[in-house]
Amino acid sequence: MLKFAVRRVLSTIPVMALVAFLVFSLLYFAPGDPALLFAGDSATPQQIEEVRRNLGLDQSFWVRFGSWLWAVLHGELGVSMISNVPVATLIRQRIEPTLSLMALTLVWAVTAAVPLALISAWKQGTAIDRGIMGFGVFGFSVPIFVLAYCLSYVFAVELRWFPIQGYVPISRGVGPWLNSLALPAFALGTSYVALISRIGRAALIEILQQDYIRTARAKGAAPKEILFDHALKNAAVPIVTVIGIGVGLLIGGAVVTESVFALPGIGRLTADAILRRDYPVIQGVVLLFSFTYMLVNLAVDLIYPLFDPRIRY
Amino acid sequence: MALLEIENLQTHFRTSDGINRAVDGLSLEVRPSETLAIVGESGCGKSVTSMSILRLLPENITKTAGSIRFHGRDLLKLTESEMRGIRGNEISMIFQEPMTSLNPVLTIGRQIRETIALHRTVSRAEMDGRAKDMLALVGIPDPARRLQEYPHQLSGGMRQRVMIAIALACDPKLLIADEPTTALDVTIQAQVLELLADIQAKSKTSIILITHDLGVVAEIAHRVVVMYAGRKVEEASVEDLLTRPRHPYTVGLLGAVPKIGVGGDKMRLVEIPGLVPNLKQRIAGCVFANRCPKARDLCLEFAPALEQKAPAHVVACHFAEKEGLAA
Repeated sequence: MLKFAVRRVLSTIPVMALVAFLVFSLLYFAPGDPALLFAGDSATPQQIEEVRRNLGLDQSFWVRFGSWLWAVLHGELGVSMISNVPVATLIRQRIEPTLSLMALTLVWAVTAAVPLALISAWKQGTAIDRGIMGFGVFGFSVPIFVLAYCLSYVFAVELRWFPIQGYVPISRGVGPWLNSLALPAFALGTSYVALISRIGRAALIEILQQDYIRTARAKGAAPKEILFDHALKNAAVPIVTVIGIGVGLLIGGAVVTESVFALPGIGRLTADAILRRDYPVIQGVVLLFSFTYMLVNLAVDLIYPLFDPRIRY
Repeated sequence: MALLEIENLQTHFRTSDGINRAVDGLSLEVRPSETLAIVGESGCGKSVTSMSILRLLPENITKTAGSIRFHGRDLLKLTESEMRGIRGNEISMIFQEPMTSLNPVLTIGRQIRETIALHRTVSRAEMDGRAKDMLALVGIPDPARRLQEYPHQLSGGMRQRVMIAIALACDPKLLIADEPTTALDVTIQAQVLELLADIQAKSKTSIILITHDLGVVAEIAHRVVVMYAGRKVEEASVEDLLTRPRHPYTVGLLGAVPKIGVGGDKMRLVEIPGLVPNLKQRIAGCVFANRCPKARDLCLEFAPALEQKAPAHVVACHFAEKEGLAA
């Protein structure tokens, strides 16, 4: 188990290195000159040249990549070109709304998706099943920002149940915190619910046809016991897998959601940094996202044996 | 009085291209503490019969008629929740596939305790004790350790023993064993059959043994029902049926059993020509007529009734002579 965990962690290193390389080169080759932006509209060519030299932008690709990577390995994510604040500090300041949004979304999405998957698998082929899966297709096809604006219009602008935008830190009370995140979490989680319930349903339908389900029925088990004691535990591995994979979806969605609801999180930081070509910030957050995604999927791998005794590391 | 009486059972499936009459007018009875074998080739309706008794067939595509009286109560008329009280409690079932019939993610102990918990109000300690006793009863060494294990840690034969332990955990009156040894290798088959015979001798449980293997029948059955195309074609005591089969189908089945040392290398197995009839079409005459060496025009037109042709020997064939019966 420990050996597997160590090996699994080590195996993420080349992936992280590749991500770092891609992130760096993408921005290196991206059009637009940060020195121009940095120097301002009224700068003379000499001033721009000087800015470029100061920022190290006149060096070769490999030199810039090397020095950036070296710094990253020492925990130095660089300094924002716009605000002159270290990227690590920026991330620290912005992490709470994003973590809150993700956690809340994960919790509600999983609590909603698993029962939906169970109902729809049990009632396979009925109107209830088709209804749930119809919702699934809808949830997956409507872009987050469209859903976000619709929710915002109905529940914030018209009904005034929730704030239109903004974030209340949890330190100011759980109620207001939840209130400020309700609409964003709902908008962000809908496609996630659709994904998990759809995969969960497919897994459960296959499981419900297994011989051991017939055995359970022959023992006198009721639908409740068959679904919860027998089917759900067998479906846990695919469901947990898709939850892990879906975290990638959440990260991408958070950028959009935070922009629509003006949440001061990492997503907003990312969007703003991209618009301003704030390279160090973009690199920092993308690395952070990749790292988080890998960490989540590592955790998923490590908890498999809890659900399926046949998996041993 | 019989423990289980099936009368004119009809189990039909709705399929995309018509009604499949898997069981069509089957009657039989199971007496207390006897082993009744139901024999026939694949698709003859023997498994469907057993699934009909416990009502385990998918209800949306199945139509069942007739009656299945167990202790005088018609199982087909019970509510689903009354039926759950019977399954695993008064009537248990073991299946052909020991490798897949146990839940892979639950411990053996949990799966035995589940049956007990569903039907009895007892403490966890009592359940554990019972589970351990059951494993010991079915001949699993070191039961305390096995209770903690998962199915994948056990061999096929062990798993079938666990299935039997689960089935017997609540002392059922009737055990339905659907091809219990088909998936096991020959030495293990013999052990499992011996175990079933043993348990029956001790606990007086009635057994319905569903099989296509006449060797298994000879081993542990008392009476035999031969099924063909969803119907009973012959019924007799095991000695009678094996030594003096009267239905041409039974004769054919017995001819298809390989015998060691008989006829030498040149001896070929006799097979029954032709195929099982399509159960989606009505059959006017005898169901076996199209494959029967004795068939005449009469057989194609009129279905033979199940008649007593010898003491305790019922046959559905126009050409089975009566014998040993008072006129």
